Amino acid sequence: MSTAAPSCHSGGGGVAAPAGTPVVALAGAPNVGKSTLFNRLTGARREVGNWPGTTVEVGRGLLSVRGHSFDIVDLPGAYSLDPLSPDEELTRRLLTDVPSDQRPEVVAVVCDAARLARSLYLVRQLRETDQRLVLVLTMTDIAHRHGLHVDVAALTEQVGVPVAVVDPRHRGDKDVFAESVAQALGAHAPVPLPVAGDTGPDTLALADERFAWIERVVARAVRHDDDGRVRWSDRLDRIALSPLFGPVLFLAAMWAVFVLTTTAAAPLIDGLDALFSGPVTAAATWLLEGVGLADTWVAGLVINGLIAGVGMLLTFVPLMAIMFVLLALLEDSGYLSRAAVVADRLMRAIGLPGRAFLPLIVGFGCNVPAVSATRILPNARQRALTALLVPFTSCSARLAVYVMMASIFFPAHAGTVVFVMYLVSIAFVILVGLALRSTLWRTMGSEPLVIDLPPYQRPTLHLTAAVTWLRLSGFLRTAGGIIVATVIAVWFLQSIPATTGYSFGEVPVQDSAYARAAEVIAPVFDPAGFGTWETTSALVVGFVAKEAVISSWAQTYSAEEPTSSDAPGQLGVLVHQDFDESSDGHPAAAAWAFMVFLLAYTPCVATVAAQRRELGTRWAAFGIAMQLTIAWLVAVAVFQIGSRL
Amino acid sequence: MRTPSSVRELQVGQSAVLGEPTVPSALRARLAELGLRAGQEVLLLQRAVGGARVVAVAGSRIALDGPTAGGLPVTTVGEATR
Repeated sequence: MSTAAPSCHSGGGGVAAPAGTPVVALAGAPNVGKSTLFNRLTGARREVGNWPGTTVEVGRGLLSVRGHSFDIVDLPGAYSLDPLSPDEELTRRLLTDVPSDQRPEVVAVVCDAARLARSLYLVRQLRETDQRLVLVLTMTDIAHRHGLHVDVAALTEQVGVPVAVVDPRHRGDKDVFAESVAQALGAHAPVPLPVAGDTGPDTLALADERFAWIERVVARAVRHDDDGRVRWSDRLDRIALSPLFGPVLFLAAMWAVFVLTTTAAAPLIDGLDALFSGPVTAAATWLLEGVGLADTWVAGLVINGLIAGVGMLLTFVPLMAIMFVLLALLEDSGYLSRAAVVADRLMRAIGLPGRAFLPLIVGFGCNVPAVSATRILPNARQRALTALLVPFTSCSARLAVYVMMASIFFPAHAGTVVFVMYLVSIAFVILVGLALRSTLWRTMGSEPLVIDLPPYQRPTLHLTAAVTWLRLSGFLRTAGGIIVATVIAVWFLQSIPATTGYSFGEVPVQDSAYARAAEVIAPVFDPAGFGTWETTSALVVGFVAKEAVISSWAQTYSAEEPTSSDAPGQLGVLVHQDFDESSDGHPAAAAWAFMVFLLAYTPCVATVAAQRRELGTRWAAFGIAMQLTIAWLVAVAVFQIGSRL
Repeated sequence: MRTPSSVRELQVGQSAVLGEPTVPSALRARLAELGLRAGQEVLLLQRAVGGARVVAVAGSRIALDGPTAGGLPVTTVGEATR
């Protein structure tokens, strides 16, 4: 069975299965726990969350338990085999449209016990084929809380396939799952359910016949202990979705995330900073002296490059970790689906449905998976518009720079400054969206709001830790890959003399090729108050990845000031001096302009690559040009106005 | 008081049986998959932010914008319980 290329940012899959291993596809409606189950079964780490659209590509991994081995494939969520969006089309293609020898040996349809009827349409459609099936029942704990009891024996008899009851949020249940799959594999292919001959495929009459079958199954397999109509989840929604309190709660939740992040992370950041600038640098210096390399270019690379750059970057890991934990808690609790409802009116103003809010929220973590997540939107023009707006959502890499700038220029109000940057980010999304909507996208229709609200859940430690680690490890991979490469490239350029009289690695940074190249571009930023080669070069490097902005600064300033190489904590002082000079005494206005530019210009090459994949080269290039233009214009406006106040 | 003709006009706490939806066919299919189809009983739980409606149907909670809720006609309207 072939699958689409997995996304490196969504975790891909786990250990690959050997050739010939039976393929088991996990299918089902959105938000029934497929990805959580996939992670439990394979040990892989796909993005999981308590809101629809978490899986937008296909991941696969090996399940090996009690003598059984299966190649598990996690398909995007689909309510039925009648697709309305590209990710649903992918599911249909892999289950029914490919030649039979490329289809999975078994399809495990994951069904939410608390909302069984909604999950059974896909089961019914697959029962009209000879596909081997397993019905995997999840969320039985929530069903019990709602007074619903599923009779597994009756369900098995009614549907005619093995039923496995699992609880991937709290347990492994690998053996239960594997036994049911083995049972399906060992049995004859099921006899397809008959379909009324004169209805034709996918007509309303056929749909009615399927719904009648579903009602019969539910009537015989599900018992209701009480009417259970108004639940505590509904009572919470009276506040979370209230016209008055809903938007207030939404803003309060976002503000709390960023203030908690910055205040809780501050002592950890200080501690790590002291560790890298003190003992780590001292130990490296001692080692280099021991091997006779203390005064060579190698020492420059290690101390001014790797330790000052990567070390500075790693000090922000606590910041990322705390924010990822808080966002994971919001996701797992079910609140983010409510946030999509709250944002719907706003999104509608720019012609996008409330669902478009979901990829935009993902963008606040990382823009790359957010661009991929636009596939949950059924309309191609909406997908394109959303993918062009995603880079204006302020990803976590930019957060590190805001925190640094805020702590340098506005130390008493750092949390508030960072929060304002997120409001500016939302304003960019709305205003650019309105501008595009009234020009290039003026003929696009609007999409109705239809959101299936999952019940609120108490977040579990396992899921919160899994999501946090997935995102944090992604950040660390960037730090270990692109950033190290960038740091070395910056050091290399800084080591090349641009004037005579110096040898490689011995040149002052202001006379290096790095400074010369940045000096050519720097005047462009004079009207924005930060037209120095030091800042310009950091922004150029930031095109590769925003994580590299701080490391580039750290390298530049420690290289420029050799006497301070043992005290990179002075970076803030040096940056402040630079902004003082470049802004003619208006460093605060220049700092705001710089942060706004950083927010609005191209987030990273990986996001551009994702846009190119989703929209094509032309639109990706359009996105780069649009962002650079907007970023420069707004940064100049901010400085010109701010410096006159 | 006028009898509600669609989900949009229901009072909070009022239940009703759905008639044939008058929304476009693709949306109609999606609503049916979520349980919002003719003959199903729905309960209006909330009038939410932005004019949205939250309804209970077949154990699910579905948020709909006002115009979509207006495209779901109702028959056999019950008394509001709250």
